[in-house]
This record gives sequence, C-alpha cells and structure tokens, in this order.
Amino acid sequence: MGNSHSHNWIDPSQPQSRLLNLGGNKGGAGSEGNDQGLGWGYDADDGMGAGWPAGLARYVAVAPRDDSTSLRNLDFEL
Amino acid sequence: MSEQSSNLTRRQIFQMLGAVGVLTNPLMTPLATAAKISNDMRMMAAIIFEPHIPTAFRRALNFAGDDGFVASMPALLHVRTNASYDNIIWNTWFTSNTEESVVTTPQGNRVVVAVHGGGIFSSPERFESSYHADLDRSNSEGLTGQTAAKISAQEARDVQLGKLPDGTQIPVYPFDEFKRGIADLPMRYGVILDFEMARKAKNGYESFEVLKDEANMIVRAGGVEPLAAYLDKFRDRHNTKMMGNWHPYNHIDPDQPQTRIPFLAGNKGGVGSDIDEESLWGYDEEYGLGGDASMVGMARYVAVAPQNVSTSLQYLEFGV
Repeated sequence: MGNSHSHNWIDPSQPQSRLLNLGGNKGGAGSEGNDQGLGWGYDADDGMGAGWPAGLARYVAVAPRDDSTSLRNLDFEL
Repeated sequence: MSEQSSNLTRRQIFQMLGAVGVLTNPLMTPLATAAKISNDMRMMAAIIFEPHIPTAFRRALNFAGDDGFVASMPALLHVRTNASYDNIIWNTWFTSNTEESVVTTPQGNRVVVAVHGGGIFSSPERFESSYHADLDRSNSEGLTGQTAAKISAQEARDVQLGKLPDGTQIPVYPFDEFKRGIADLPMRYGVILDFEMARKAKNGYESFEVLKDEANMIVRAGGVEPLAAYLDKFRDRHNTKMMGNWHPYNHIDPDQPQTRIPFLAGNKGGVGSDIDEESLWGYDEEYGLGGDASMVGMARYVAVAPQNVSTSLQYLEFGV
C-alpha cells in the first residue's frame, strides 16, 4: 500500500503544513504500486499521502442532527 | 467578451497596450495607457489572483466587462517584451487566457489546437464542470490522471472548426500558414499544430536559438516575430543561454481529448531562469513557458478594460 510524504524534498527550516489525503478509486484498482502508467492522478489508490499540492478537496463533514424534527427519514411514498 | 472587443484586431489591442505603463501596484497595475477611447478613457490592466482558477477567471472576466479582455499568452509576452524588467509583469507568474487541446481530426490525425483569447474554457463554469465530474478514470468527463481537463467529442470537433461554446466563430489557422504570418490577427483565434511536431520539442531548458523556431513556442507567442522579440528580451535580462519550454505530450494518452492552460513563469528578479534546479521548484520558479500544469490550482490573470481616468483616484496626488 502506498505511504507518501514530502519530507525528502522540502526545506525543513521553513515551518510549513500539509493536509493528509486518503487515496481511493472505484474498485481499489492499482493499490499496490506506483507504476500505474497513465492511470496516476486524482483517482489513483495511492494509500495515504501528504504530497499533493493545492487542488481539489473532498471532505466528510459530521454533525449532530435531531431525527425527530427532520424530514430526511420520513416515508413519503404513497 | 463582447462582440465588439472580440472583433478588435491584435494590432489594435497591442496599439492600446503599446505604451506599457510601469506602475507597480500589484493589485491594479496600469499596463496600458495608450488607448484613447475618449479624452478620459484609458485601457487599464489589473492583476487578478485567486487560489482557485475559476474564481480568478470569474473576477477577471468581470473586470474586463463587455469592452475589455483577459490577456492571452501572446498578450502577456507582448507586454513583457515592451516593459521594464522592474515591472511586476516580469517578476511573478501569470495564467494565460489561452488553451491547448489535444484532439483527433475526422481524418484520424492527432493535433494540438491552441486558442488565444478564450476557447472551450472561456467560462468559469466550464472549469467547474470538470472539477465536479466523477473523477473515475473511465469517465469521459472530469480530469485526466495527469490533471488535464477532459473535453467531449463534440467540443473536440467544434474547436477544430473554430466553433466555440459561447457561439463565437473564430478563425483557425494551420500551423504552416500561421508560421508564415497572418496580417491583422484578431484577438481570438486558433492554430492547429500536428501532435507529433508538438511532442518532439524538448520538454525542458533549451537554447534561445532553438526556441525561436520551436512550434509550440511560435504558437504560444502569437507568431515568429513576437516570439523572437520576447526571447531576446528574456535572454538580455541576465544574459542567459537557455529558457524553459514545457509540454505534456510525452506522458499523456493523446486519444483522450483534453485541454490545458499554459502558464507564464516568473519570480522576483528572474532568478534561476536558465537552470532546472529542483530545490527551487514551485509556483515561483522561473521555468519559462509551461503547458503541462494542472488544470486545478492557483491562477493569476491580467484583465484589461477601459477605465475613466477623470473619475478615478488612481492618479490623484496624495502627497502632503
């Protein structure tokens, strides 16, 4: 599985931060190797990494919801 | 861009840009002071920077309005050619309103179609539709693995014919004809270049003499003469021997129709412009001219629009 970091090619004297990304794609294709030819990119299953530059983001947000006052789970079928 | 401004010839626009101002306010740099639309109207340029390409492009288009434009790569290079090295135009990087698409002709030939001044990606929404698509590699929309934007078969066909999504019809010149020179180029136009010719260019640092006859460079600069003038100016900044010239064509799938936006590199002082120094890589590396950048990321456009000098405070004297 991939485990990527940027610590070999940065200036560690410069305080800096990165966000961690969790790889993934449909079916988990190519999850064992970096040699994916033209398949690498946003949809590569690269394991876990912190090397991507600024770009797209897909967060998961979690918050408490009161199911009793929400219509989300009501049954609207007639 | 309005029909009126899209019908301006490149010469007319460059005449407007001819007296390149050298004021260096990074937020609103007046590059253009020559155009006298009326006694008090001037074409003024502004730098629009955002960490997200479509946000920057939307702001740039808003600044340009109906009578202005967002600078293409030929416009950026032309302005540099006529500007002082101290001007901000030489001392940071810029995003161009130019695009390069890899497509296949109806006859089965792979080509690169470059469009200056707004092509398939002439709206922020078109960028956003690529970002919001399913990024699975089997999807015909979205991004390629190498972060170009996938384009549809229809878009690929239309751009070869000069048919743009906003309804504009632009001329598209074969490279050989373009290289010989086109009189009075319009603001928006396309050039078709054979993919193999584009691909065989060295992807990296090259001598100025070789670059002057390099097809991708000729297209990006808007012709042989403006390219030579820009390269001479670039060379003379630090009396260097080489400049970077980048393309993605050796590591993409050319059967997937796709588009990228070329970037103009730059940093303060033009440091390291003739070396491939990996330790310096990044957004502020002076790598020359790039066509292999991601379609996702930061953007710094130049937008140009007529402004009424008499109602602006920009030139008022605030010194006490």
